[in-house]
Formats: sequence, C-alpha cells, structure tokens
Amino acid sequence: MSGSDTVTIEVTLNDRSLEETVPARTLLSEFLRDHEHLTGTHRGCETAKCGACTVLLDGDPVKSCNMLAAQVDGKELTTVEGLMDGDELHPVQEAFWNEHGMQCGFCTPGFVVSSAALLEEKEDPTIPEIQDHLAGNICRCTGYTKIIESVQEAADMQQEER
Amino acid sequence: MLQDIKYTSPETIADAAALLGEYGEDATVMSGGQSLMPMLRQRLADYELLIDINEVADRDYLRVDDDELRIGCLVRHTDVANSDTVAESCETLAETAAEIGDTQVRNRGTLCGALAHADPAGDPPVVATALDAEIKSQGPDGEHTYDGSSFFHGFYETELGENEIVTEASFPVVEPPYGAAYQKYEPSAGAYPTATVAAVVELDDSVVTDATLVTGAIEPGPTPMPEAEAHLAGETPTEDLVTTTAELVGDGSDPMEDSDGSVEFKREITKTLAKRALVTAIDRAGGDIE
Ligand SMILES: Cc1cc2nc3c(=O)[nH]c(=O)nc-3n(C[C@H](O)[C@H](O)[C@H](O)COP(=O)(O)OP(=O)(O)OC[C@H]3O[C@@H](n4cnc5c(N)ncnc54)[C@H](O)[C@@H]3O)c2cc1C
Ligand code: FES
Ligand code: FES
Repeated sequence: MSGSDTVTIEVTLNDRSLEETVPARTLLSEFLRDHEHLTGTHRGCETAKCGACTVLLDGDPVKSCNMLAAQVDGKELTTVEGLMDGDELHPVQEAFWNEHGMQCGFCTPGFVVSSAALLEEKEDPTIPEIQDHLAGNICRCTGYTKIIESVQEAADMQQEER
Repeated sequence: MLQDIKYTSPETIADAAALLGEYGEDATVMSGGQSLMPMLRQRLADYELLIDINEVADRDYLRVDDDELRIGCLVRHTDVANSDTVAESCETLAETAAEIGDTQVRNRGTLCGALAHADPAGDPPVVATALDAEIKSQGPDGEHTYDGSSFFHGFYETELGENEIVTEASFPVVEPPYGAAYQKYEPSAGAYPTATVAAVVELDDSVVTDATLVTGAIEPGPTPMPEAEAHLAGETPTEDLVTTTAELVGDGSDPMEDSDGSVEFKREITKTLAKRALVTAIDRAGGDIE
C-alpha cells in the first residue's frame, strides 16, 4: 500500500447509502457541496475557525472543512438537510425560526446541527453548557442571545414531545 | 481546495511507520487533523502522501495500569475530558482536555497528536511536561520511550525521531500527597491560550517536599521555572509563600510580545495563573494554606 490519488468512499449521508470515488484531496465540505450538492453546509473561513461548515459525524459535530472526504468512509454523516423528519422541521430548526435565532443566516446551519447534537446529549442544557458547546460556531450578526434562546426553546419543545 | 495529495489509511502502526520511513519528508501522519488540515489549507505544509492513522485498531484505549494512566494515540480530547477514569486518576488532564479549542476540535483532535505537534500555545505539552508523562513512539526501527519533562524543545520541536509515530502517552496517577493543577488565560472562548501555568506539588506533613511549575504559551514551548520551584520546596505553604512563588514564576519568565499582549501583560497574567494553580495543587495534595 502506498497511497492513491483517488479514494472510493461508502458513506451513509442523511440516511442514504452512497458510494463515490473522489480525488484524495477532496475536503469533506467540498464533497458535500460540490459533489452531493448539499449547499446547506456553508464554507466560511475554511481554516477551522468559524464552524459554518459543521456536520455530524456518527452524531458528533465536526468541522467539514477540516477533514478529508476520504475519512468518512464507513461512517454516518448528517448535514443540516438531514435533520428534517419528512416535511417536519427538527425542533431546533423550528425554534431558530420562532425565536429569530438568525439574521443573515450564514452561520445558521452550523449552529443548528451543533445544537441538535447537544440536545441529543443533554435534554435540558444550562446557558453555560450551551455557550460552551457552541463556542466553535461564530455568528457575526445576532450577538448570540437569540441563538441561546432558540436552543432553550428547542430543549423545551423536545421535552414536551417526550 | 487542497493541493494534490495521495492518501492512505493503513491498519497498523507498523505499516504507517514503514511508509513514513519510505517517504521520509514527503509524507506526514494525520491523527485528529485539527492542526494539520489548517496547515495544509494555508499551504504552510506540503506533502506527497498523507498517512491517516485513524483506521488503526485498538488505539483508543484509556486505562490505569500500575499507577499509570495510559492513553492510546487515537484517544480524542473529548474522550479524555469525559472519561471517569481520567477524572479519578488525573483530574488535571481531564480539565485541560475539556478546555481545548471548541467542541468540534475536541471531537477530532487527539492528545497524542497535540504532544507530537508541540504547538507553542498547545495545552497538553505543558501538562505533559509538568507531570513528566511518558511518551511512547514507534518508528521503522522499533519502539522508543521519552520523558515528558524533556520532550519539548519549543516551536513545534520535540525529541521525537524522524519517521516516528507517537503511540501512547502515560501520566502518573495523581493523588495525595501529590496535587496538580493547570490554569490558562484565553482571549476568547475556543481560542488558543495567551498564557498558561501548570503546578505539581508533593507534600509531607504539610511541608512541600517537591514542586514543579511550568509555564506555557508565553515562550516557544513549555518552560520550567526552577527558581520558583526552589523557593517553594521545603516550606510550609502560606498565603505569602504562594504569592511570592507566583511572582517568581512571572518575573522569571521571558514572554514573547505579540498581538495577544505585551511582555508586562503576560508576566502579570502568568503570576495570577501561577497563584491559582498553586492554591489548587496544594489543596488537591491535601494541604492547607496558612
Ligand atoms: C480552532 C482550533 C482551536 C484550537 N485550540 C487549541 C487549544 O486551545 N489548545 C490546544 O492545545 N490545541 C488547540 N487546537 C489544536 C488541537 O488540540 C489539535 O488537536 C492538536 O494540536 C493536534 O492534534 P491532532 O490529533 O489534531 O493532530 P494532527 O492535526 O493530525 O497533526 C498535527 C501534527 O502532528 C503530527 N502528528 C499527529 N499525530 C501524530 C502521532 N501520533 N505521531 C507523530 N506525529 C503525529 C502530524 O504529522 C502533524 O504534523 C486548536 C485547533 C483548532 C483548529
Ligand atoms: S469553514 Fe469550516 S470552520 Fe469555517
Ligand atoms: S446570522 Fe449572520 S453570521 Fe450568524
């Protein structure tokens, strides 16, 4: 084995199994946007600082600009497009809508998937827990207050559903 | 877009080391990728071959053997932060891991990768120096073991030989009469620290018999503070002793001035961090400050 210029990846992307061969240098964010046309995953800084490109890898938030597509072989990926249940918004999406957790919306997909992962781990996170969990996502518009309120609202909605 | 690069994900460390030996400077190892990918993106590094070790089996262990907390090279910062084993055996390491970067970085970045990378502002190298962690590696010529206290040479330089892969880091179990603590100042949540201090003390009948004080981020690498350590050793901790020791840590440091702060600012913040770290370390060692 000495490495190759292309890689074939088998991945479960938003509950859909697919196999694709891409150049080895393909970033995960590039794979999602340019190959799979899932443009909900945004590219902001592309150097691991802003979190706009966050996706869930086996349920955990990761920055997709900071990984190669090759590395998701055999894994499960969820992007913001995969959060909806049929026609129904994910509670986090609905809460961001209701609470105005966004202005320009550029950072929003990253915040939404990160928040969804947090609520899988913790049903009722405290404000410091939300702040700590979302420290890798940067927003230049909202001042964060509305984002935190959105996450709290989503937590309430999820608890009511249960 | 990334430059053209070949990719491979060997299933054993031996295969990875052999490839490194074959390609030399034209290849690099990737574990968490949290430092490497940004370097590649910014064209600060260029390689022909990327050897991804994430597919190597059984390297995500975290266990205590013979009073040593052993951590395999695929253990992520998140795993260290959330592990009960680490919380019970080396609380300081768990706390350090929980404060590295942000959630996404901790979900991918590895402890051993951070030690190998030796970023001047990295947190794990400071703690590994202060606790004298043992760092194990494997190269094409076999295995090697290094002492954490002398592993780091500043500015991304370590004792690690060319073509070696860090396979494990082990930390001593820290319990009374030993106590350890790590304090850092970061300019904003998720950012690299501006200044850090690690403190380790050993007490005997409320006298400090041994002390280790190491600064991080202000100089090119983890920096022991022998004058401050000597000031503390053999003494009974008092408020005044802790303050004067912390002052020696700050005044004995030689910070680099940069956009994060002036020399004076970094010395002052280092004193504050040293004091906090010492107070916590003494408390954890079972001591009282009179
Ligand atoms: C936004 C952001 C914020 C961050 N903040 C902090 C912070 O506050 N504190 C902090 O300490 N770190 C921080 N980091 C860095 C993070 O901790 C990295 O995880 C760490 O520095 C490198 O570990 P890695 O596993 O990701 O290594 P990689 O990125 O995979 O590798 C880094 C380098 O080390 C080499 N390497 C990796 N693993 C091995 C190995 N097992 N053996 C030999 N060589 C190896 C690689 O060849 C490469 O040269 C931050 C990173 C980002 C992106
Ligand atoms: S685009 Fe990935 S972190 Fe900014
Ligand atoms: S809403 Fe504009 S960056 Fe967050």
